[in-house]
Amino acid sequence: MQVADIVVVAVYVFMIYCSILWLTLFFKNRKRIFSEPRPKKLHSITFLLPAYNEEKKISECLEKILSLNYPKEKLKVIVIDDGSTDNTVKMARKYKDVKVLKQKHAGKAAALNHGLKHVTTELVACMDADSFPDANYLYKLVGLFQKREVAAATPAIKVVNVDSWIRKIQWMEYLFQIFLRKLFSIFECEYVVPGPGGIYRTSVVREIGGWDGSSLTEDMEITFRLRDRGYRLANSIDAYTYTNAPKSFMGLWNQRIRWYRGYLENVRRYSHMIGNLKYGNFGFFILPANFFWIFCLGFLLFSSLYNSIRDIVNYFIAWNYMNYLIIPPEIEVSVLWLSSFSFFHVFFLFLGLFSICLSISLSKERIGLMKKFDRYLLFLFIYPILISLWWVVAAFCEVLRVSKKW
Amino acid sequence: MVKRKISLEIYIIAGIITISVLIAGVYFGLFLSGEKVKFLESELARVRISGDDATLQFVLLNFFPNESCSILEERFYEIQMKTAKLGSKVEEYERTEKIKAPEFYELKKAYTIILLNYWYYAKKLKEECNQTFLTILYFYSNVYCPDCPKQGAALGYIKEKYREKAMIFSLDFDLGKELGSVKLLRLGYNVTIVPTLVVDDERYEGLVTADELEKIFYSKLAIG
Repeated sequence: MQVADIVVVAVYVFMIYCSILWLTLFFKNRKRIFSEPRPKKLHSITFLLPAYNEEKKISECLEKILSLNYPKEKLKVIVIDDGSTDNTVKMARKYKDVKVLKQKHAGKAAALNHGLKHVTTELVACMDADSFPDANYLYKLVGLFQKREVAAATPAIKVVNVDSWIRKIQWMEYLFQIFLRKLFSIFECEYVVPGPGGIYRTSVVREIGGWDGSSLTEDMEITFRLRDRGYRLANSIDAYTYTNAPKSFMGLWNQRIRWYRGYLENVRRYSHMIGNLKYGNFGFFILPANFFWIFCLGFLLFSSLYNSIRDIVNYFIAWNYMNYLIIPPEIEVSVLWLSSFSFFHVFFLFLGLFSICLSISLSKERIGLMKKFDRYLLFLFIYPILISLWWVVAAFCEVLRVSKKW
Repeated sequence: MVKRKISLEIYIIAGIITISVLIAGVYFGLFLSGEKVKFLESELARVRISGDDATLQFVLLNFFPNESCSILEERFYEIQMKTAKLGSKVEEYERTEKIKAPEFYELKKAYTIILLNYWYYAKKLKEECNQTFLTILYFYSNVYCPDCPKQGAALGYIKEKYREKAMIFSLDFDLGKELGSVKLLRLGYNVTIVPTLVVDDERYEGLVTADELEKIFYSKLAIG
């Protein structure tokens, strides 16, 4: 037993604790998962659509918004063109019900704040031009604003056009996030209102000063700020928004480094909330726990890498001393194959598989093992490596204060 | 500012379940460790029976000198191979197992004694039955021996190349503290460092590469 072994056990125990915590929360609240209050009054709502060179996607997005299942007179749409150099403005102007604002290229937060100035409705929704809502999404979310303290509501996001292997991994990840986001909402510790489809109470957004352009992730930053002022968020597990997730490896890489650096930047900015009971489960549990998670991911990544490299190097050294003779190994399966940690590995794997099945069913998708076989394999084997890598790189960049270009 | 409540109940329930899982995991690890030793013990029992049989044959050698040799030489290499395989499993357990069951150390001693018996018989077989093979007694250590994995690899090469002509017996140097037989061999052959090879009573200190071993085989057995 060495120090490294004890750390491995501690890492697994922590990961198992978190998984059991979420599953316990789920089982205690399983009747509440799908219940949203029916909206007694339908609030008026404006969609803010910041767009930068989205001539191809913006039409589909606008059409879907305009055909939402919601009274037309209570629905407004504003497109904020962030200095596009293509035909984005031309495509947007084809729709008479859409107001188009133009500005010099200044970023998403500036575009949203610009649009906010023209909002006259009680609620304001954000939408990315490469995403679009489901027809019933508004009905599901609007009722959540009946509680005065609710300042923002989060939808359930799914990946559409699942073609490349990158999108296949994200498909499963987003379904898992739908489940986790609902649990976070019950636990009152969500830390981001997603860009595609997040809805805010206009008066609150104005009161706290709109979006912050100095942040890498303005949607996360505004959520932290709302939490700092004691506002609540709410979620509907079946208010669907569909997004065209990054298609290429580098596209996804850049997105995730930005997201996770943004998280760390926001945590640094709002560090007074870490471990602070005043901020409920968000401050007391999620913020500290995420630090441990980043450590766990980094530790597992580096220890696996180190062990693999060391084993390969030792194997080659031994092979050299054998004058490169190849001896076919005799494989004998016996109890000697299991390791002392096998119990923890298997248990954690079991929890993971169970959670995956649960997420798929709660997202109203079919498991379809035959057809979607590759998606599950990619998610089980490639995703853990990627997520550890992204967090480790993001943490390094933040700590070393690498310049932010995104 | 509304003070948010924390869900103490959920933390505690999850904590209790996790502690139960931890205890179950540790118990399972200990149980598994014991089961592995039991498995090694059952393999050792099989090897021991062959050993007792060989002992008896050496005694009978005095009565039937002509018959015994042919029978002995037939089975001897096979027995030695089985013992060596068990030996590598024992070494692997010692190297990789995180929590070693206490019974393991007794098993290791029992195995080492059987191994040394075979080494002795191999030497006797060579004398009394005129055999052409080399006995190699290899002293290693798990405490600090960076050359030992390399020595093991080189010996693996020799075993593959020379087959019945190379009888290799791997022995833990540190058992000299607990087993008198090992201490005797250490003193008798003046073994002070690891790795050390004793090839047919001739001592070679330090790492002996595959090429050097081939030279030794060539010179001692007059074969290439």
